[in-house]
Amino acid sequence: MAAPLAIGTPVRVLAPWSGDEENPSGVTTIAAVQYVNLGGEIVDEPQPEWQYLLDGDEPFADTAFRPEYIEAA
Amino acid sequence: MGMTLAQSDAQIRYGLANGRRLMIDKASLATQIAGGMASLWRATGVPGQGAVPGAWAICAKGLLGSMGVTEAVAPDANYLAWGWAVCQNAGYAPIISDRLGHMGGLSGTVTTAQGVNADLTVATSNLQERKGDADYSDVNWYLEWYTATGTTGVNATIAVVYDDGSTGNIVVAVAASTAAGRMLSIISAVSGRFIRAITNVTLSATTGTAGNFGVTAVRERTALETDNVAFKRKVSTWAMLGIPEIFANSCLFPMVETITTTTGTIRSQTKYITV
Repeated sequence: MAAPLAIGTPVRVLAPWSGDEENPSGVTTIAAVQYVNLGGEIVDEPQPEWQYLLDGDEPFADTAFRPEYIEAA
Repeated sequence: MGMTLAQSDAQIRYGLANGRRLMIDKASLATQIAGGMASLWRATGVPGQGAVPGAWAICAKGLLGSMGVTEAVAPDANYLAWGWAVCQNAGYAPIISDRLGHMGGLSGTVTTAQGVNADLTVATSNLQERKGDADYSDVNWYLEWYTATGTTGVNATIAVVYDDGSTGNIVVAVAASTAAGRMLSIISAVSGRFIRAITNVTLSATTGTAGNFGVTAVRERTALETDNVAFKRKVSTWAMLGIPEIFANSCLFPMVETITTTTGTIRSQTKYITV
């Protein structure tokens, strides 16, 4: 089973979630991994579903993205 | 006859002597932000608290939450021509908008595309006259919150149709703990193009709490400015209001840009003339 990328991993947000129809975002880093239960709630226990909270700096300060919307930079 | 350039002074004087009044007396909404836009649709008071919308619908005169206007009989028309406002929060300026259409029921925990199906191309309820310019440039689109979503900030990717039929995506940042009453602007990502329809909204991740939000299309009609003194009444003349025409079937309701963390109580009386 796949595991989340590590905290601190440099990543980019893919288009169009980057705000650009064609190009990914600039590089930012993973600040936290948030585990998501079946009800869409964020919980502490590891779950099959997770999302990444990105760094407090731009371009997506403190914004969460599902794994399929980002790529390792 | 409608407002004519040659007779406008006399029409305004005559109209104000015989004008009807629109009242606003809204309770304060909390948990707003400095520099935000707040909808008073769900605030209690006058006009009455509007319902949380479901599927997309065109809003029309008489909808609970709207301000009651007696329709003019053609060829006469109605115009906002005078008003005053008193705001609990110093410097606030209530905006009177025509609520063109709305929908709700979007969830802060759903991360697949959520259908909006908002479309301003229909002719229902005199919409084509109410919306203003043919290119939809007079329309402001918002994500509007009815129940707070969760404590994780996300992006909302909004699939839109522009006035020329082309499509695109617009990303709107949704801050953590976005509260009821908040309105987040959906602004065209293409210079010179304006939004005529919204297809769906996809959140980049779960906010952690479902909440309830939706999409609202409005056309601002006027704003009643106040001085930077709480509870001080300020009168706006016809020139300050811009004499906007109130088209048939308009669904007028108040909004306000927030300078602090509440909307504050807002009271206002506006006269509209029929000429």
